[in-house]
Amino acid sequence: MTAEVNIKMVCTKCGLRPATTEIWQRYNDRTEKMFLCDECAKDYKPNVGFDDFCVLDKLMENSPISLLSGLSSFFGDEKETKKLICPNCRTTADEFLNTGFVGCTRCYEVFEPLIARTVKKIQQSDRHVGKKPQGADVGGSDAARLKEELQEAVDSRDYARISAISDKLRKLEGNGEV
Amino acid sequence: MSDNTIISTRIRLARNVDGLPFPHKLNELGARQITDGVERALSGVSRFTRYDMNGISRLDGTILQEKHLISPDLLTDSRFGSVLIGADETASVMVNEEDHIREQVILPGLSLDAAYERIQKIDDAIASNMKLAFSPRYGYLTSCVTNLGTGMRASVMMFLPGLTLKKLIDACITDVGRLNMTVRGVYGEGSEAEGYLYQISNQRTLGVTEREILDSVGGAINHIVDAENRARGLLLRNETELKDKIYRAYGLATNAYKLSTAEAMYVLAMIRLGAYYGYINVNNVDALTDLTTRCRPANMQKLSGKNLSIEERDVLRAKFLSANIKSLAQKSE
Repeated sequence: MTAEVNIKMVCTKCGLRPATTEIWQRYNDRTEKMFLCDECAKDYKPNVGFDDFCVLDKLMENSPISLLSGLSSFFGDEKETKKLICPNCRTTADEFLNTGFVGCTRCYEVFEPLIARTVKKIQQSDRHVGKKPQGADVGGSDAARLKEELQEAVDSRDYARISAISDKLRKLEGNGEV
Repeated sequence: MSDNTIISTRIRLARNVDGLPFPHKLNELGARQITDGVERALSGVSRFTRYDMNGISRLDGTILQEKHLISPDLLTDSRFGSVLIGADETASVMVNEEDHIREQVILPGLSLDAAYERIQKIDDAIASNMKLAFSPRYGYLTSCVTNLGTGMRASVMMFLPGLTLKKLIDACITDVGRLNMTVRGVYGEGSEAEGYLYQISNQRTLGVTEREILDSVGGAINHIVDAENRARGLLLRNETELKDKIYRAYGLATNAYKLSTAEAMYVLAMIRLGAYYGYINVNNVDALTDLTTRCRPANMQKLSGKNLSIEERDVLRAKFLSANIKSLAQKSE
């Protein structure tokens, strides 16, 4: 398991470069922590076993915010995503993962891959089904939503759902709403 | 009107204005723009009074917090926080707290539908005056992902002495957790909750409709009311002990020379419980709820009109409570 390191320290493996990543490795009843630099972290091969998932279970029991910081460790292989910074408000991916807070509406686009997964874990859903603001530009959203759902159904080869969603889409098209 | 177990219902909606950074990244100009916009929008609904956190005394701010009209965070953490409060203090809108806009309606008793209906008027007025941050996928966009979607938290304040005294409250909290609800002590946590007051609210805000949230909270409340009634039945197994506790509390409330906030919370809770069993006749249960707020430290301080030491405040609280309880509640024997 890996997580970004915020404090400055030297890599525990090479002892030369500054550590940027924290690695937790669980062996039966103990957890070992390592702090690695970018180079050593790249070469590190995690020993993923059952115990790693025990750690995950513990994280899941925590509050939403702890859950978020816990999840940050699962994005360790997505270095590019973690380097993201919102051009509008300068919020970093790390800031989001550590606090659960984004800085502006633009962050929702910038950190989309991170947000999609964390939202689903916390809310058990990633799709709004409630009220829409009066006068908001949400036209066509039904069709857009259906198209996304259709894609998901195609990906999971859920043929009954594909057919049901296609019917709904055809109806919308028939009404000239698409 | 509230009953013996259900004190009040509160609904809040989290909203943000499109195109501006969320409060923790917002500058003063943007913050003012939002506050002014909300004030304009609300002027079309009814009379709201605006309080800027930078412009009111700490004491007045704490009083608003003790009345549950603002959150502790607005008072201590927000840089440009304000609140707009409706004339009867049932509706309030916090500005620049965790989100740009936090609308809230509090009504006595179990009033989920009525509270939602009222908050809709406020929400629609704001939405027709300001473009709100909204995405078809995630719904109302909020600064923390735990509030996405409806941005709605429906909570009910409950008086649960039976479950607390029978040490069943933790089991109840776990049970309700399975229904995706959260239980928190209003003043303190778990069995330490002062005055046996708890807040039950929905956890999920996304992927559920407002109607579903209202129904699920309502369902959880019914479940807790049943459990509380059973627990109050169990307390009767040792009726002499129970009656003695309640009468002693009544004695303290009417005769003590000084009372701390915690003691006041306790005696008010026991009098409320005494009313349930018919040991004490209470003319108006809502007035008891109101006393719970008016006994809090900042409210006491305000009542005296001068700076008091803790001891002086405790003496004043005992005097205040004694006068009120004597006119409000009498022993039935």
